[in-house]
Amino acid sequence: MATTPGSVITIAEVGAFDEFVRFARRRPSFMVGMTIVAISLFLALFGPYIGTYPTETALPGDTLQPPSWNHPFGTDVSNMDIFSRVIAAPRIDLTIALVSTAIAFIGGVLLGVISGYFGGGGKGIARYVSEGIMRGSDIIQAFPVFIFALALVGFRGPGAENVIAALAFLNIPYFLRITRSAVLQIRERPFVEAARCAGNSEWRIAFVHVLPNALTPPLANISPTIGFSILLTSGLSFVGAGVPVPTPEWGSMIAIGAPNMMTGQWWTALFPGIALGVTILGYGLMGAGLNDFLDPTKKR
Amino acid sequence: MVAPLLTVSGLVKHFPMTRGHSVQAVNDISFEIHRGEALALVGESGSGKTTTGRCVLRLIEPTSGSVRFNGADIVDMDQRALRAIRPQMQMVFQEPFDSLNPRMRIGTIVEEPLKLANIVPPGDRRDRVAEMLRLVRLDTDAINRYPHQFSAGQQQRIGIARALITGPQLVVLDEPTSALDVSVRAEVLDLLSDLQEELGLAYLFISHDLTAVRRVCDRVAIMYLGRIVETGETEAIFEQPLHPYSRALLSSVLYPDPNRKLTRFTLEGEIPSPINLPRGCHLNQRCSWSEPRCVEAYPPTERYGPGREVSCYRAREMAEQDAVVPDGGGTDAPAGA
Amino acid sequence: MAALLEVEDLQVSYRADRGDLAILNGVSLRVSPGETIGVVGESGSGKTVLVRAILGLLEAPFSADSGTIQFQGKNLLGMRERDLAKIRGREISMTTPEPRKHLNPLITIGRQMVSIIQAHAKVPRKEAIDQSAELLRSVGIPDPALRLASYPHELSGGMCQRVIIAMALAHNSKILLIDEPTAGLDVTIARQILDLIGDLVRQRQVAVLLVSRDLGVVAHYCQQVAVMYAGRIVEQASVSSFFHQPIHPYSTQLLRAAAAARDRGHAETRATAPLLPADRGCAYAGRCALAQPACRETAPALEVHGAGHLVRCWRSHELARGGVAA
Repeated sequence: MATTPGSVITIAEVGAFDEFVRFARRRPSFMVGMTIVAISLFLALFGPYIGTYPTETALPGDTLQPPSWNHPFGTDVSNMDIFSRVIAAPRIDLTIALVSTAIAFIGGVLLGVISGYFGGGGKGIARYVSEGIMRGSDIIQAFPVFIFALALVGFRGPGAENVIAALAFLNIPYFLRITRSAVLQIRERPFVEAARCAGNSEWRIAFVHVLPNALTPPLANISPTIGFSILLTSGLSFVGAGVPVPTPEWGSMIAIGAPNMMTGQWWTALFPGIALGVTILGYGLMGAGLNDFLDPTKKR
Repeated sequence: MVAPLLTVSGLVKHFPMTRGHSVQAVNDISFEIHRGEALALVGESGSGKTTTGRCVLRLIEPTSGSVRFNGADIVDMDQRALRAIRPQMQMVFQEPFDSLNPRMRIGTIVEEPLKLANIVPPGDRRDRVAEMLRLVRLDTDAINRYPHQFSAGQQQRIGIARALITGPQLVVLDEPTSALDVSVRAEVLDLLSDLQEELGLAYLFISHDLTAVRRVCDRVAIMYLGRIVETGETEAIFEQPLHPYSRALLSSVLYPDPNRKLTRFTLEGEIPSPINLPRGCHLNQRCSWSEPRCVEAYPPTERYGPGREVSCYRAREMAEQDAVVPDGGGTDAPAGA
Repeated sequence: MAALLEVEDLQVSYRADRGDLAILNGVSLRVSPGETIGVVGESGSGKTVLVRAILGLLEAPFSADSGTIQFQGKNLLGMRERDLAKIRGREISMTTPEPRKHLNPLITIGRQMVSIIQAHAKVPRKEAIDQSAELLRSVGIPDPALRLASYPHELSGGMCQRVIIAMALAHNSKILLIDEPTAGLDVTIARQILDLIGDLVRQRQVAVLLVSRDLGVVAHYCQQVAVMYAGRIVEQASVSSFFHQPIHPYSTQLLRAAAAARDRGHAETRATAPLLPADRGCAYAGRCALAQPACRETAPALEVHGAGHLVRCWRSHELARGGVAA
């Protein structure tokens, strides 16, 4: 006596591709965000090869030329073509942002699962570990982000790796908290008890059953974190604590160009500034859209 | 006399709360289940039936008492021994969808207990899964689908397949049909019934739905505020409930037949909270037969025939009054009261 | 008895991304004083949507597209919100399957009841409080003063339901829409609530529309029954006709499933297709043991089978004669 499974009137936990496309079409802000992100990724890969001028060596000739056909964004004080540098910058910014976010995501999610699943109850050692994780996280989050980043980089010196380390460290508590709160809810659900009944050890339940179900909130937060990391990198570079000078980076470009704005050469800091703002906006929009898409409770 | 499969003795579970209070969920209950027998645990909210089910599988730690399964006391075992026994005693949960991991495929879900128990070589596991799905009357192409693609009734069958795959001797069913629509309930109950016969399973069937219980179970234990107030064979209890709570419960069942008159054996008031249990018999504030001795001490369990037990001082009196004033469900108050 | 409320050919749809879903597909029924009509159906059949549509409580993406809801010579469908607000809670009241969720958790019961009383009548506060206490007493809550000072979370589920019923009676409504009054309640408490509703209906001669999934409730507390499936009424009859001579295959299936069989009978194990409105043909055809090709082509209309017995099925005449085993 066969019964054929039919589809049910519930909302699927994971959206299908067509739903995604339909969703994207109805949200112009999301499409804008996605486009910007796509462009930034493209530039990260190919930007340095597109510009017609070298990005790190000063050229002979007139410095501080206004935008022209040859130099769409003008040149800066070392006579480097700003346009080539602006489109080459994503490479370093995105590399730093992506790597640090990836590290923060993995670390934060793992710690979040452990502290969320084993904490809260009275389970002896596990509880202390979980409490320890949470207090450590509180300490990190208690400091103003930028100051803390500065301190970390000051401690180890400027340079891309140190920026990555600082940002990863800073962002772990964020992913930790998001994951932990998801885990706290999920562990009360019947299928967790069923897993126990099936003979799973507690560790197996935490990582095989609970973790995959707790990934949606942290995943949705990756995009805005990347955007924020770019901002932070630029900020650090602006004060000279991030990426060292010859490397094209929006923050340092703004720093170099800022004094010139006062003397009337408006193009030196404006274009990198716009690029920075638009990019962060793009990541933010995409993150917001993804969040709505992955949230099964929001009516679409 | 063959030893029972499961013997619960003096089971107590209190959940501690703030300020010295505790939720007295289960208060000294004892019962047995034999191989192949289906015992129902019936009660309303606060009865402690769900907690009892979980204590039997040690998904919750009992406060005191013993749970002997095949002679061995589960309460004392360490985690490893407990996990070794789990394949023998499984559970079917109340929520059809929520008891399945939404991100796992059905095949993986059903296979997992078998995989963890390691009783069947890896190559044969998939065949067992297919066999189980067929046994619960589902298409085997369900293996690669996800829980949300099925209806509630089908999801519950998946849960049943998962519970049975390790060949358990005892299955605890916690309100297995309460979350299902009426039209689907009957199918699932029949399935459970058939499986019990085919596989010789013992059931601890926890439910508040008396008609479901009647369909599946041989014996019934009625619980109220953490105690068993009456036990007996299903039909005998339905024919003539002896404890006042059993009477009230049974007279509240609304049969879908307008010609069957409703009997009005109701209890006054609300169910007390298990945090503040009344002294003596837990029913004394609501029962119109209540007397001073009902408040002083909890009534002892008395035998009323083979397999029939009742915990009430005046049950015999009530039964006698029934004989005089046949009402088909018991009388509301003592004669002349 | 003249009907107080007449719903005629009501259409309600749900605007989803992929198109419009018909939730109520031409529902008609009438409610008369002193009479309780039970609306039965499984989840998804549209019962709750019907209740909300009558009171104009549907929100996007639901929309009531066509049909009429006649009350006192006016059509409630399409009425201005201002006028509907005067009717809601006063002439027509409703209860809810989740009483606790419909009580404000931050305000005492007393304040909530007073605000309900004062919504439709200029009554000074002291008098409103007295009326509230009286209402609570009339729904069987002992010690009303204590309850008036309590918060919803301090009350049990059964008590919350009594409070909701009391609120529904605050203005002596002529029509009560009672939606699953016993959902989530323990059996003995449910029985108390149902007996209470039965007594109140008899005393006040109100017209009641009772939504329930439980055929037992309908058998003992209703005089008329309407069976809904996928947004349509498929059978409507007096309770005695329905339980003794059900005609529509779905009705027969429901009754069989609900019957408390003494022996372990075998229910029909049929492929259960999902409860979705069909684009064409009878919505029940997917699950029906007696479906014929014609059933999948065109949707049947309601036909009369004797006094007040309506059936929507192409094979209803055969079934009525008992010629086919459903």
